[in-house]
Amino acid sequence: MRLHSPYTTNTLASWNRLQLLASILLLLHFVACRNPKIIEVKLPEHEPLLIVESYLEPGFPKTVVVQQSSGYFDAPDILIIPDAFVTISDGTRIDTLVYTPLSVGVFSFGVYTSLDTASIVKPEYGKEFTLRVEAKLSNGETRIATANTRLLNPVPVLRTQHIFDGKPENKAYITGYLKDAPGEVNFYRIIFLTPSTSIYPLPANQTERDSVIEYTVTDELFDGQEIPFGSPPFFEPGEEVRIKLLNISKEYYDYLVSLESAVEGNGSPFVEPFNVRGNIQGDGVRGIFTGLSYQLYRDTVPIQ
Amino acid sequence: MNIPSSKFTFYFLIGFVLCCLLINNDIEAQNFTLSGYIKDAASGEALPSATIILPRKKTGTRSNDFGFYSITQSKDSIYLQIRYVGYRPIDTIIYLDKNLNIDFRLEEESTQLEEIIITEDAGKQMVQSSQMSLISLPMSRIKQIPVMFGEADPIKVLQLLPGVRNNSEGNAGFFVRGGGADQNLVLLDGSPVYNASHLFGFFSVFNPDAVKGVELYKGGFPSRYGGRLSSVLDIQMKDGTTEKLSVSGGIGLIASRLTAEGPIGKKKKGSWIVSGRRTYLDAFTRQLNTANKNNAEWNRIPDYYFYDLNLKATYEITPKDKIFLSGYFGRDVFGFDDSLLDISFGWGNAAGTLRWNKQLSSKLFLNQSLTFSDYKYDIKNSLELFSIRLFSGIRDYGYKAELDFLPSPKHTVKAGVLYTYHELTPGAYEGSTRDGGFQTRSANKMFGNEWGVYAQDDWDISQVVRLNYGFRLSGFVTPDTQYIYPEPRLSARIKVNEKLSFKAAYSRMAQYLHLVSNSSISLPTDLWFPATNNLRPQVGDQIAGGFARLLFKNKVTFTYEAYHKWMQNQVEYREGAQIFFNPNLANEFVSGKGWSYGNEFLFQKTEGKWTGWLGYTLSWTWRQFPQINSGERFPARHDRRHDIVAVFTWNISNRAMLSATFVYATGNAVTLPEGRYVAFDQATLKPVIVPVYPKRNTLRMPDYHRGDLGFTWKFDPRWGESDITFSIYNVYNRRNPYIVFFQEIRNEAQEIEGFEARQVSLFPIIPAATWNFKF
Repeated sequence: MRLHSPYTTNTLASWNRLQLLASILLLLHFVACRNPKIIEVKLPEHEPLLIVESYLEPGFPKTVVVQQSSGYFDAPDILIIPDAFVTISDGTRIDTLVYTPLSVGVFSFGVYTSLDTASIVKPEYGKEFTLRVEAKLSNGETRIATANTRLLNPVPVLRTQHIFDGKPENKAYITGYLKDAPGEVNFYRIIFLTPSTSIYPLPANQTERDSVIEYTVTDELFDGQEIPFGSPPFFEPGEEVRIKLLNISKEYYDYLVSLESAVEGNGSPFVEPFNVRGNIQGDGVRGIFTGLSYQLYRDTVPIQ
Repeated sequence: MNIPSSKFTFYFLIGFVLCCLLINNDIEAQNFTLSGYIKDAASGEALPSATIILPRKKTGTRSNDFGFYSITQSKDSIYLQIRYVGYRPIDTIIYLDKNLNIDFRLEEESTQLEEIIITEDAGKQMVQSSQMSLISLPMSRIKQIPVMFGEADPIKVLQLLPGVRNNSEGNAGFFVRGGGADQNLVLLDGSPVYNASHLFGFFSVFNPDAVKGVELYKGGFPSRYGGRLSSVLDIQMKDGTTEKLSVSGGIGLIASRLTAEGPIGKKKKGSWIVSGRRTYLDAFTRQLNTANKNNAEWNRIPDYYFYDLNLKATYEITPKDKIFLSGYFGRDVFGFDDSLLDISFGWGNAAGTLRWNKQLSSKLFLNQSLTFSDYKYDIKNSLELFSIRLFSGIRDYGYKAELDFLPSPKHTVKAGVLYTYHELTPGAYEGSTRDGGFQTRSANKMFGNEWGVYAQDDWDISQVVRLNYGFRLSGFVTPDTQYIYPEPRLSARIKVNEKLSFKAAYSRMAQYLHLVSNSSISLPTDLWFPATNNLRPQVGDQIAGGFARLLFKNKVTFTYEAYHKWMQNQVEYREGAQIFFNPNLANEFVSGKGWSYGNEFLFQKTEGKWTGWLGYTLSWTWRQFPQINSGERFPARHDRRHDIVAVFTWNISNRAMLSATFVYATGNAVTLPEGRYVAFDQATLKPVIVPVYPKRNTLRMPDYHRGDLGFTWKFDPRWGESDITFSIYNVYNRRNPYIVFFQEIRNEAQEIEGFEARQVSLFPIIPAATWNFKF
């Protein structure tokens, strides 16, 4: 069971925060912490991994992002693999995807996709898809990655409520409910987007205001019930908010949770670092192949 | 049900009975017994583990935990030497023509800040004793060592000895010979203490003014101790003075202490002591927060304080019956309230012991106690719409009876039974929305009945050979399962001459409670979890061997010990475990094994104006779990290859004392990213840099080293005693690593130009002063 409601996410985040604050309280010379010393760390040579992320989002082209991992202190650019052989099959149709460079923010990705309108992902829920990627890494080794996934039925947002925090800026919490299907273990990813963040691709000069609020939740505590979810006090009166409620697979859920731990594990004494776990199979490969099933819920924060 | 080695158990018990028969053969009709208590002359406090030597008979004994001693000899005049570290010795001759009951009162040396005369015998005792791997420190010695913020701390001083390590800077959690932080049985007057730390481990819960002394067993465990694999830290609280009302205290940089003690009744048949300690930084931080109430850039400082309260009363009902009532209560309180977050977090221990000592005869001493221990934490977080509470705890109710049988100076026999009822609430939670539309709660309680029976004999077989052998049978019963483990114990000493002895020990320990932690530092939220049907008890075997040698006209004692320890059924969280809000926590654990081995070298100079020690440890600590690190072994976080400690104390005059400490250790084993990539994340289109980690704990933090200085000046006021202690922690301002992390270097356009490693250090140079008084 994993619960990442906005509140528990906040709790845990603040939990980390309060422990650091506790240190601050005592450590009168905490200057050291505010300006950590640069040190030299000699890392062992990194054996590159083939990293594959592939998403099936109804209404959008099939997307496969292919790259190879680099040593931590190597050049900062993403190691794109432009000559990979990438296919996605649904049992009857096989799409061979082609390389397209794509910039998101300051990052340049190598994305494999198809511009053929017939290959656009249809809302065929329950249908199984198979991914295969064959790529040659910079060290000359060829890696093969395979994975299967299905599109799950989207789950609608039932309703939302708005509560203002009453502080000078009068930010609003948004709380919503979803109806969980009884008798099965379900996983959800909830994403709050403001219009600027929902435009594809994201503008390069993203600001803090454009932050995406997202977290994952399971139904283990609430099987078959109306599950509450919500945001921190973040939204302004009159603001338009879009809520992406994704019904996700266990594999994708585990992937997101492990991704969060992997990122937090870099430097936090409160987390044991471990690697991302996904559903991509193969030696020396890592990543995720998942459907993104959702109904976009449009919400407007009322003006008080 | 698990009953291994029942045949072995049977033969061992038969052997033990035969040995006891041999003991009885030592007892002759013409013998008489001298018995009584060894006490502090000023306060009347009982002195445990004091030595009573009969040099002409080439034998001797030690006082027990309550200062009681007993010697049986044939009718003769006997020459006695009474010794206790830090106290003036007593040499006397007693004519033993009948059973005698005599209490000896020793005067403390350290109050005069003079050289410690008696300490030569501490070295001799190390050569003489069959016990190995034991560290014994009186509080007077602990207070001489400079520590952070000037707060004397027994655990911090123990961490300066070979085989005992902290896991990060300033942390009061400790690891003994590669064992886990949960493998230390911490006893405060016989009651277990489950979380011996304040402020996330920066201070231990032991108020120096309320503690008489500490003993730490790292191996060669006597049968009387059990329930943990790696060490026993036995902390005795002061009894309080039987002489006159006395008040002492100290005012320090972050905390102040106050202790009052005195006799009970006009006949002074009892004593009491009340000791309290509280930090007071919260008083300043609240004012700072109030002053900056309208400052938008002010980062509000949370309210934090901790306090301890120790209470003890003793009363002599008859000359042979004494009762003790001791209690400890301590809490850490943390509060934070700003626009985003309203959180309160409290944790703490309560422990109590009601003890009845009965001297059944001059050779038999019975100690019975009822113990209580409680540890819990409670986090409450309230937001506009939702409130959450996380809480967890463990509560014990125990009974213990132990019989000391001292038939002759050749034998010290102990036998006992104990029972503990454990009540655990691991990982409970509550959550609800303000409108009541949603509520969740889980507070599953777990129970366990732990029992043990044991017998041990310290047998002076000859001038050369001394044996401490014993056996413990322990068990754990829950509603679903039960476990029984035989725990044989054996220590042997071969004395080559008065200056050299060789020692060896074997001990098996069983542990029925696990502490599961997900962090590299000790946290109050680490969970205690009992052995269950699926989670087997921890079992440890340790062998140790070494020697003790007196050098330089007996002024220096050199001890060397090598050890190897095997630990079964070690528990960790699985990778990606959900620790909070989980009603099925047991599913998040994985079991594996651990082993450690090492060498400990210790030179101690305990005589003269210069005293101190130099220790070196060379050790390896491994863990292996089928579901972690691809099943491959990995070094534990606290694995340290080299560890050097030097502690020096210089008694300059009757009034002045200077002390210095130096510590060097190989950096902690750590898992740092070796590679990276950028996750695309189509659902949010917020790319994130993802670290790729190598095998667990394959990298090392930079080495740790630090020097501390302390200076004590004693005043001579008319009204009592007073001194001021200055200490400088980290005197050369070494920035030791606490956290190492990697981050990107970005330019103004937020483009990434490269990556760098950064190190967070905690404690720079910290000068502190503490004023202590007593009247």
